[in-house]
Amino acid sequence: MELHVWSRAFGLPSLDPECLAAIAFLSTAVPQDLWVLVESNNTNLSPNGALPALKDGSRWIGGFDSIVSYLSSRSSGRSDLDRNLSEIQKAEAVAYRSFIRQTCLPIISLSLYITSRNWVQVTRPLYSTFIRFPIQYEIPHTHHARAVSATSHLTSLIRDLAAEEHSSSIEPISAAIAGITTTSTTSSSSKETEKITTRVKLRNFVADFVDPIREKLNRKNYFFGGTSPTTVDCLLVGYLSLLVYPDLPSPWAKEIIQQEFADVILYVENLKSALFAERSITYAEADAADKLTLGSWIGGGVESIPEKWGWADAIPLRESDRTQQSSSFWVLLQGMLGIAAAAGGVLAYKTLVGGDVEVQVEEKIGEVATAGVNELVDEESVESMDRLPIFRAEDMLNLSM
Amino acid sequence: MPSTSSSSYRPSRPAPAQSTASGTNDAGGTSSMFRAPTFIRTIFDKFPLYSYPVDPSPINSLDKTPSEQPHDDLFSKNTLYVFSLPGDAQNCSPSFNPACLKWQIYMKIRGVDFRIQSSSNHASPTGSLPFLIVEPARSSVVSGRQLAQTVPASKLAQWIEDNAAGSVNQVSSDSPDYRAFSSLVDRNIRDAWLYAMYVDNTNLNNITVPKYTNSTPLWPVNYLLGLQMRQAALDSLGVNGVGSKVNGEMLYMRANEAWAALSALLGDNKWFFSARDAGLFDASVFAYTHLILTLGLERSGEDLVNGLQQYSNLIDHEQRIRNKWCT
Repeated sequence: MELHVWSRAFGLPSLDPECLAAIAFLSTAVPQDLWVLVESNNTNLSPNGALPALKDGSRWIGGFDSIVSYLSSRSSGRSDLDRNLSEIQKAEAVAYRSFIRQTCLPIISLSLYITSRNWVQVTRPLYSTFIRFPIQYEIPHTHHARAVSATSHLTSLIRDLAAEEHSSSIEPISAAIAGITTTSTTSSSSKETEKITTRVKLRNFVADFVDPIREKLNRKNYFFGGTSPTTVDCLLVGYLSLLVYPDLPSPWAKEIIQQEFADVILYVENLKSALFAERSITYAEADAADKLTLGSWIGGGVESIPEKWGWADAIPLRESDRTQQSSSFWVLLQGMLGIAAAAGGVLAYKTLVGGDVEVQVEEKIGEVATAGVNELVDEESVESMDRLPIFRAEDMLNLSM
Repeated sequence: MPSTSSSSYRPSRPAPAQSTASGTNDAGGTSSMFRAPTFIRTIFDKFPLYSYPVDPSPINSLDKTPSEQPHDDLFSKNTLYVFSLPGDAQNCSPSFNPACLKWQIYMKIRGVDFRIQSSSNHASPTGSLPFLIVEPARSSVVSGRQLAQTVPASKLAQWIEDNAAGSVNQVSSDSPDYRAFSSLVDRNIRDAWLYAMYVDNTNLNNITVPKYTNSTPLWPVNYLLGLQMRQAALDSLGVNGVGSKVNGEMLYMRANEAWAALSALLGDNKWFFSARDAGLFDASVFAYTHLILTLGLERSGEDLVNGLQQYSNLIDHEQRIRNKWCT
């Protein structure tokens, strides 16, 4: 089995929380000799268009939840990390998986992608280290756009963060020219209070996620107690480690968790050393067909054209509807191209031929005039003049040559 | 200022008669440079066609006694503005929007006296429904200038906590489990709901558009509003999908997973989190289960209905609330 993920970063095996969760899951649930990790970065491989994706022979399974349920049923329950949970705990597992994704993804997006110093100095350059030339401009852009949409409900917090970053930079040039120095004590103290309020807001934002988790963990090693991690632990370590481990120029997420939620750090530390250890992960190169090349990247882009142009539903009922709709798009496009080509051809031919017809008629009249009237204008030649002009035109061309 | 506009408008009521008189005077005397043709003047003399009675200005209407105000003792002083058909608003029947229904039911559960008013997003100060307008008590109207208080949805929980006399909220909304299961309702079930109601074209045209565009049943307008609602739902689902392709079946599967989890959480209890009385979480689950079971979703929406009907304790829970607070 191959697990395809986004490349490693920040001392972690991947830069994507869902990929990290999948790696954590496989390294506990599946013996090491049965799976390898492939940093293919190629989302076209996955049936749901996002990594992680699991390749088992010729089957592809996309997304953490699908991988978990596939492996559980494939191993007839041996790989099911949640098999020892009670019914109510299983219900809680479903709920917490949803909760982690809903509340933690905006924090990660804000920290790694939206906080502009982190994005410009760390995350953005990171993509260039593992993606080659033309594609390295597009993929980080889409990831950034995704982060923007994930944090679209946090506009005031983003504004405060941006203001804080700018206040620490140089004074505006206009102020310098005018000789205005804004280093008076009042403005610096107001900046300080501004910084503090921003920090409080960020703290509440992070605590919305970490506080319930800490309360639930209650210094246990694993989320539901016990002696082995569950799927919730896998997801938690995936999401939390992207808050805790990256070294960022604006490390607010890390600082807040370190200051107030030290036992959560301890929990992540334990899980990380157990699940993301270098020796427990076997890396492999992607097959030639699975590699992210310019060709496969363009292919993936072209495939999504029907959706981008609004022809196909972005969210069809079934996956088969999607292929059906996009193939109907291509058939229609081909048909329209064909009709356009045919019409253009006819038009071009008409214009060519039309000119010749005039010449032909003129010359014919000339002929008629010079030769005797009665000799040439018999039934046959009148009939031949009434016929389609095309053949006449060719005749004329031949004659004039 | 409404007061100034109304006072300046007041003398214009006997306007038609006056303007004809003054118009002819002017034309004969001062403004000989420009004189409108007679037929145009006869047309303009007909205006205004109708003068509406002057609206009382809402703030400074202290000269009026409270009994003259439009609502009388039959209605309570709190009005919850929700998505609702005008006829339904009269007898306080459930709203067809889950967010509105949740608060409508929760206020009934907590015994808050209120009436509902059919409304739309444009009426709301925050841009979303529901919101509550609390008329100040009569004594304070007489004694001083107290404004009607507007409570947006985000502050409703606190307002109910402060104003619901004789009932207590037993489930802390800060507990980790409460928040985890709330996110299950807000994400998994809401996504499937959005898909069934807005993205599925049959339900969009048969249920959603007629209900939401009830006040503007003109053809191109309601059609365009429907398209807008559908696009908004698709955008919202795309954000939750986080870059991966989602499809309807996947959303319904996640909803089924959520029903199973909620059913396990409820167990044999009467209310969620083993509370002695229904609470906000019961209301938010009821808002979806009630609408899914009663709206008559068609086509792909049937998957959602069938998924829910496997869990008899959730059905019973819906019925329990409906019978008690939704008669």
